[in-house]
Amino acid sequence: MAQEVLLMDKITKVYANGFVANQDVTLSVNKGEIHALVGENGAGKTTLMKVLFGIEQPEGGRIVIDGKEVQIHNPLEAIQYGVGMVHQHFMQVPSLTVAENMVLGMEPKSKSKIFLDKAEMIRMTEEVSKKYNLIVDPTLKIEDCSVVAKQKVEILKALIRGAKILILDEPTAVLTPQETDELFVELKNLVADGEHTIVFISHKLHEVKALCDRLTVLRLGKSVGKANVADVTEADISRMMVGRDVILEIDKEPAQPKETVLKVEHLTIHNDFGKTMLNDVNFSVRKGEILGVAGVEGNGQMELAEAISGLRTFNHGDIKINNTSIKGKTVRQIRELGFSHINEDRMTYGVADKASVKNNIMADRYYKKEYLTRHGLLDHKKIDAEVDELIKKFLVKTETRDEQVKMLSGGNIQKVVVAREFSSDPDIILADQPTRGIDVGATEFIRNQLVALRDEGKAVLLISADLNEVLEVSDSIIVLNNNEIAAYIEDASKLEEYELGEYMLGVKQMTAEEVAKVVHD
Amino acid sequence: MTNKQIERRFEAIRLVASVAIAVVLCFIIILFISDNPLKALRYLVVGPFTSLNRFGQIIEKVQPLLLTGCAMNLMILAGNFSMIPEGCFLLAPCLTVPVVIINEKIFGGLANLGEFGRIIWVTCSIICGGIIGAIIGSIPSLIKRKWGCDEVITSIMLNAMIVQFDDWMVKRVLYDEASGLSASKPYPEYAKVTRLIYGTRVSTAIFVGLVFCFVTYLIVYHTKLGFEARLVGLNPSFAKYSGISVAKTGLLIAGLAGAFAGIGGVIHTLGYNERFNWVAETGFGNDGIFVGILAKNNPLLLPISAFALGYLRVGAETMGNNTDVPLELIQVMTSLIIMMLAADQLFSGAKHRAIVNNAKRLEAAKEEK
Repeated sequence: MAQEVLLMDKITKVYANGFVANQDVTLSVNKGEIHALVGENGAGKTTLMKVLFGIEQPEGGRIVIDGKEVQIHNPLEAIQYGVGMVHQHFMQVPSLTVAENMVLGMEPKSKSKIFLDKAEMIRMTEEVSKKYNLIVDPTLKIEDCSVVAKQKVEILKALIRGAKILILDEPTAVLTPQETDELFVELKNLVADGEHTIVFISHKLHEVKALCDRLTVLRLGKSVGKANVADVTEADISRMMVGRDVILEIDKEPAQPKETVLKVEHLTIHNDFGKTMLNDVNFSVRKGEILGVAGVEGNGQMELAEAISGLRTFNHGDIKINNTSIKGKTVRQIRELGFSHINEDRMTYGVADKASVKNNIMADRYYKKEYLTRHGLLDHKKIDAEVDELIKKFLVKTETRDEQVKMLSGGNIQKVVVAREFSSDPDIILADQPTRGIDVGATEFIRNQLVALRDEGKAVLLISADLNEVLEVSDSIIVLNNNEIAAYIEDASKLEEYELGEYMLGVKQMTAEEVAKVVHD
Repeated sequence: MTNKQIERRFEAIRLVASVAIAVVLCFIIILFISDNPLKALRYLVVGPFTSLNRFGQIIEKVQPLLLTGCAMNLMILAGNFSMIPEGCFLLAPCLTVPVVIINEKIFGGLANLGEFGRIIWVTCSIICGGIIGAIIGSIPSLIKRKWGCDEVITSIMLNAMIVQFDDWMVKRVLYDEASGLSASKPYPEYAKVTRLIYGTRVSTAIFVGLVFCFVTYLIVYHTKLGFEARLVGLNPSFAKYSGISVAKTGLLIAGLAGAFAGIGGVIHTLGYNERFNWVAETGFGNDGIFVGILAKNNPLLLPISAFALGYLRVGAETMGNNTDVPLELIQVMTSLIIMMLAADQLFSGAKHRAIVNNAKRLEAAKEEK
């Protein structure tokens, strides 16, 4: 009988907006195993782990570590109990070196007790990195590291603090298939000593099958099952996760592209530190097609989106919407050219969380003539009618139109964004991580809406770190690597995930002539 | 019950509790420092209503607070914590009103026009005061846009300079030996705002203030600028992404707020003073913050919150004049109220429990179905 190292018993967590994220959830993990915590987005996996790591306080339930019941009030206490968390979004300081990030908060001092001992930092980092066979360069700055290296640093950060139970929150979300394979070898290595235990959060079932020993399934905030991975098939797990047999698949006709709407010509962007983020990029998006942009994060996707939406100036080249250059234009002028935009950062740019649903939906159009009375004042009657209609059409679950957006769930907040951006009759829609971190229902809804808009003859530029999404939704795909377009795949349905990974990593590269086909005139 | 109702209920509880806690704390202080606490309390609570004169004093205090309250309301809504309304309130009358004292020859003709002359003069001075206020009010926002200095700092520095300028104007330029005080020559009769209640300084300025509360409400909730200001105040990044010019909105709101404060200053001195004699901060600008916050940033509630502050102040004065408790105690009380109102987390535990219980009940109801 394996020894139980962690028990979370009947955990209940209710958020301030009344959302029940966990309801009597039970998780039991044995020493030395890799335990998968699976469930769809919004099922409560991350919340459960936040409770374990002391970031959130549960309303009910108890946590037992090594047979002792413990109260974890903050992450520092969690670390003392040997719990380490590797967050989905890396918690690192980009301008510091790997070694400096590793020892942050526990920096070794020189003999004088005043200065930092840099040599000791590097020695500590190398020691732990060798011990666990996770090789990193201690002197490299985080901003110059690859995603895999950052991931390793994140794991080592937990290990150097003495973590015995490691929580990995969707660690493969931003990795290519090749990088994922490498990470799995290292994780198996790590638990081989029998001292370390890993809780692996994921919704990718083939990864669970490949890596984990046992699994616990969460659905809608409740634990609905546990099993030995060897005893179940992917289909079994999927049924437990979703409660039905369907798997996300989009039903769509082949695209029928028409004239060009968005044209990016020789676009070059340097970031604030002078680093070139996009180098002489050319492509076009036509009416009636969805062009996907794939690539490891940090290859210029963010800068591209900011430049097209007018949130950032660009150095060389031009961007044209409906044959009008957007150079020097304000955000409003660009929107009036027929552009709309789902921003990747929902809570900062997508909504004003303390404003009402109504004001969030009206934010891009309140000034237009049809929403004003004869005297130039806002016509609230008309606005309310339109907002109510959009709430209904886009299935936003809210008590009233005057509800603050922050009271809604993530999926519903994104539906508010979509209700605004899809209803302004745009010619081109930039969808930047449109379904990041939202529940499966909302994801399905938004993806189908994108396809429906394409069928209406709109152009869609889809940027996503979710390879599945890019492959499923896009008609054609461009891959960004090394700040340039590394590949253009005209028919996305013919592309395999593994091949896409090779382009993303720069293992494979198309010739300039092949890439140039993405420019249509 | 919905979560929104729970939120609302706790919001109301917090407002009432904040005031109640502050008042109780002040009562306790009075109990300790006064030889005759009951008498002091009676003056504080009932005092303002014991004579027409004292009641009039409340209204006198409400008059300027309405306009500075509107100004601060606009500023806070747009997320601009500039203190410049105090400066506008001080400077606008200092540059506008003396014109009528210095140029009696030109303006003397107005006297012959009777009430009509008064209306012309007061309207003109309000307009000039508004323009001066708007210019001064936008300076901190302009500086921020140009050099990135924080509005809070620049506005406080600017206010200090304006106080010195007023002082210099009164003592060097407008000084009237006959007054025996640091003050200008008296305002001619036709230049004053009409007084309403004999023996008090309650004037038609109160109506001007009420009108501006309504105008502010219209601006905030029914105009494009108000909509922009609210979104900029709540999330400037989002405003920018939606196509709103954050800098332009900030500047327009600051100008508007400055204009309101400037008008407030002009109308206040014409209705309240006999001569121009402002040589120190009036405090009305900063009290505008209190009044604005207490009104929960709703311009239509400003008259109520301004009345509350006026009542407290007059009560404190009555108490200070008649007992051994100093009137500064009221500063302590208003500070306490602001502190309690700003305490976001007050009752947050109880609120969270209410939300959790509600959520559990809803879950249970769902399962029964």
